[in-house]
Amino acid sequence: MQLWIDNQKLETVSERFENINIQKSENFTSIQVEKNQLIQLLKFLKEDLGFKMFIDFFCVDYPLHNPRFQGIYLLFNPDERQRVAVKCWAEGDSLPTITSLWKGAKWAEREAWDMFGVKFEGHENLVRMFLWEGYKYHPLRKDFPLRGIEDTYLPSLNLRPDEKPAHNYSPYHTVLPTMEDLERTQKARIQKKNQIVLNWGPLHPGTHGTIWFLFDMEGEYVKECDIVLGQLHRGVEKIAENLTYTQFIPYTDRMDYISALCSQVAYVNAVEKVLGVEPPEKAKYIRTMMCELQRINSHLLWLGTFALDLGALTIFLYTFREREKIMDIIEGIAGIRLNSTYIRIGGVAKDLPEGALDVITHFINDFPEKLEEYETILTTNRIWLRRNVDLGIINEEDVYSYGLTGVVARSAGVPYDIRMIQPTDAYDRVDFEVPLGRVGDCYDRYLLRMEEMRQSLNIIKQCVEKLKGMEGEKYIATDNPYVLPTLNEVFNSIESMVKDFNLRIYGEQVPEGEVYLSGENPRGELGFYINSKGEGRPYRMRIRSGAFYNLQIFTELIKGRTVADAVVLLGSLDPVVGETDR
Amino acid sequence: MELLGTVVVLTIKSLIFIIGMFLGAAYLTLLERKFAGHVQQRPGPLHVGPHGFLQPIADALKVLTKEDLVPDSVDKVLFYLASLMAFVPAIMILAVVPFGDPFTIFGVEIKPYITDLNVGLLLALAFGSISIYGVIFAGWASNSKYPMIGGLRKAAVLIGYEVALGFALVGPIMMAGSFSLREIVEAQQNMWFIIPNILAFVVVIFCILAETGRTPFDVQEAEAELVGGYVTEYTGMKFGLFPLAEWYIATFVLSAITVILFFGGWNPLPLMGWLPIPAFVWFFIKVFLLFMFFLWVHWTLPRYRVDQITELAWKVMLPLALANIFIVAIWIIIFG
Amino acid sequence: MVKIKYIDRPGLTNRERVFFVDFIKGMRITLKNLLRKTVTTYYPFEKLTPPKRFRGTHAHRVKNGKEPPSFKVLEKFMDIKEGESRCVACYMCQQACPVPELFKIEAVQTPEGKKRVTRFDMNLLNCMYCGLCTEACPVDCLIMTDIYETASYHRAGTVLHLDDMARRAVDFDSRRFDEPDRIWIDDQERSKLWGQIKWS
Repeated sequence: MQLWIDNQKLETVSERFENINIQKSENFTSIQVEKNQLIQLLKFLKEDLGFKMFIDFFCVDYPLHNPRFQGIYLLFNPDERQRVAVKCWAEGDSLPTITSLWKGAKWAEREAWDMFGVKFEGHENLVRMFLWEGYKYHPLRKDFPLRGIEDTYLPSLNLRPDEKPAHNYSPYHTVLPTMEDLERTQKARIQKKNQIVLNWGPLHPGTHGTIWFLFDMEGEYVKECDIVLGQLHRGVEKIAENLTYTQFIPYTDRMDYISALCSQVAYVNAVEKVLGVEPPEKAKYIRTMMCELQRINSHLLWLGTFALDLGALTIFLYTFREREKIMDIIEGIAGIRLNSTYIRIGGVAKDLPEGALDVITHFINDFPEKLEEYETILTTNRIWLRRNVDLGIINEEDVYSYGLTGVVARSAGVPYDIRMIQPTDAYDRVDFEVPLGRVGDCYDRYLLRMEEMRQSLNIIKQCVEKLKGMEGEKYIATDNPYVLPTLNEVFNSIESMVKDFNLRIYGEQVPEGEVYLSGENPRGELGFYINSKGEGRPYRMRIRSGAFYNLQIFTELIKGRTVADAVVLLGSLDPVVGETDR
Repeated sequence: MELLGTVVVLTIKSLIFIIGMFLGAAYLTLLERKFAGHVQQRPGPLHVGPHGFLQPIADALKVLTKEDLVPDSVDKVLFYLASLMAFVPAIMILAVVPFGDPFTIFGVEIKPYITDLNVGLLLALAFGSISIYGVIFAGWASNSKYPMIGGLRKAAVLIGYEVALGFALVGPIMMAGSFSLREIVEAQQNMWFIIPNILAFVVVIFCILAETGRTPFDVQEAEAELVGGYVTEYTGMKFGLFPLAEWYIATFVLSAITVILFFGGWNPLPLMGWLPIPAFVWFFIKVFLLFMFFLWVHWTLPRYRVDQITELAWKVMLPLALANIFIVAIWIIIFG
Repeated sequence: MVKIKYIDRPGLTNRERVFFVDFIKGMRITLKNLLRKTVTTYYPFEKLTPPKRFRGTHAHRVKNGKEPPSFKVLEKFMDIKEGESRCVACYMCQQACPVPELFKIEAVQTPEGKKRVTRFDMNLLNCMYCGLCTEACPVDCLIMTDIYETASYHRAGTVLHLDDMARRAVDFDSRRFDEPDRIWIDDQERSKLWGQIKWS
């Protein structure tokens, strides 16, 4: 199912604007516009054509082209469910800011400045997003080496002088920020106007990872807030440009490490789309089932840590008890508990093992009782209500303006669920309900996630029923030229071995073109934009992370609230640093 | 000569109480850890001694032998004083808590309490409040942002619950006509004071949870928000004294006072007076049950926000305590 | 079919509020769990057996007569004795690896004109345990075992070498080669957490 802008709207645009270049393809439709017309076009799209939801903004580097950088804006029309991309060359390495149209573009533009060195005219505070102030390079540029510039001597602390740990050991590393750099970074983000500036993080039990919050506080009330991200920035987008499509799958696990399987499915779906590979029916059901197991797993971790933040210590252990069972299932099927690397282009890595469906059936029979227990302790507890109700209210306007997705968007009553609007895998063949909130506060987000766990259980049940009748069917479409053969085929046929060698060495020769496809991660829309130049590696891969955009509204919601509310808000937005930083 | 004898006896008795409380508190930590463990379907300490029985000793050794770090920028005097301020008053409440009636062994009369002051209850309240200064000092002396917020939160909570606590205790005092804890117990031989004072009991439970910093009122630590609150900068035994004083000794001693005020002290349970159980065993059974109740609450509920606690204290608990005085007054008029 | 539904917000009635019904209900749950049996595994005294598919540290299967047909084809170019690693130095594992520099593979030409693998180092500090290398091995040589305790005092201790990889595989295969491809085999140990599962 394609969601790109229809021809009628494109005609309206081309009538209204001159000098635009519309590129329409099956997987991606973009409007290229001159820099001086960019704001008018975006405004027209937003106000007149209903593309009011901001999805993503990013740059692509073309070193041989002049101007060098191209900015791409992705917009969504929530009423008619259509997407559109707007492309604009950054003449003079700068673009006009669109933060007046969509507030959500603020961080995206900062990221583009950080990674490419593209300036934004009129941006309120154009500082680096992930790296520190004083860092000299813009790492996503094509001329920046993959390994970085290794010029800092940092030998291993436990190394004997005569010892050489491994063949690839080097005591030289890329540059690290000094204390002065960090202080400059902090000063660039927030100026002290009130009593104290509290550094909440980067290593703090309440921040769920390594996010560095800066609170300018009056008493215990937060007046100003900014967030320093990047402690877990690994340059996944840069890595992707240097790996084949299959080799990148393990890295998708490590972005949102709590919902690894969902990330894999979202990525593999995008690659399959551009390759034109159709996975077998069984693989689709396995993927859907595993995704939903992972969603329950992720929501359980969220519930446990959320309750822990609010002081209910015991819930944490109860949720981890159930989570351990899902981990056992994933370990038995995929081989590893957390970063499972189970999905492959064209299917899944291995068939379901014997007994897997029995164990899953046992789990789905057992789990509702436990879910009921969590709800009994929390849902109507007066303390839980007082901490959650009417805190951090998000309305529909915020959702569109900040590009909020996932549960955060649905709590505001926006029915934005990728499983529903663009079903991949077997989502169009299972029954489930998309829960929506009425108020948009933390309590709604809590209720929604609890309900989603029930719905996921329902989906898993349907998949298990279906999979019981599919024993022995093909789980990976190895007859497709782009799909790696299974081990058994390699052992027994020379053609498969040659195909395997070719795909491993040269990668999947993806036809030239672009694709944007997203999946419904537990944390929001995880989108993959792949720009292929017909090689075995993507020319540019952009990962649109749900948690990154969802976190952005935190700075607004926290204003005027206490530190105690910060943990509740953060918990209910549920970011994972691996995904915000990538 | 008689004075010297009294001093010697009192010193020995105090030492027994203090050492007993120390050991008791150490094993209360084990009790809590075991309880929390089993509530969370895990066994708790298991490997030091049979079923982790020697764990408190191992913990004590560990805490005592840890390097005692004192940050450069702290106010040294207050920093050291704070941990003592939290600990000493908590244990001093014991001075006025009676554990039973005087009894005779081998012709010697033994009084299972240190002193029977006629203002015992007031003294207990006063020491309880002083103990909180330790927390506030610790927050201020650490010269760090998180401890300071923790200490200020505790101060805000203190002002709220102390008023309610004072009024809540009026009911039992009115019924017994005395501040002496022993006389309050003796007045309950026929009927426990919980019966007309049920509202006061609710207020007192709230206040004890707030004073000892147990969930749902553990705002001063709130590890998810403030790392460790007021103890963030503390290490070693200075750190160890805070939870020992607050979570164990204070909780235990205040449970004892609650039992004395509302559950008839060492009077046996109704209809069970014929059992051959000594008075102080009854007392400890009741205190133990109340302590377990606090643990049970702690390991179930989430945490309030600090402004919600003060709101609760002023808007709910204080009116309840006042209403309780009114009810008790009517009760006394009707039943004499 | 996908449906949309709005969530109800349950509240607390006044009667529940006055009698602390919400607290009592919650405390009943904790009490119920207090009476349940513990679910933990006492690591390191008790260990669960990882499933057969578990991706632990790497190993090299040896030449032992159970080779796949593909090995028979390549064997005649190789100088491999019985009981030695099957590796044919095709470098496919390195090609498939997202972090290829963790491999260091060297092979020499013997006087008879055959190839002999002299070095196969893997620096597991850089390894993601994604298993792509084992999927690329055309002769069923490189596998992943069920060994997961890999702590070492020095960086050098985490590097795998040719001979110890062969030893590990012999050990692994002697324990688990004939095992069925099942989700797990230690149902008894796992029943602590899982309870009794109805196997079909």
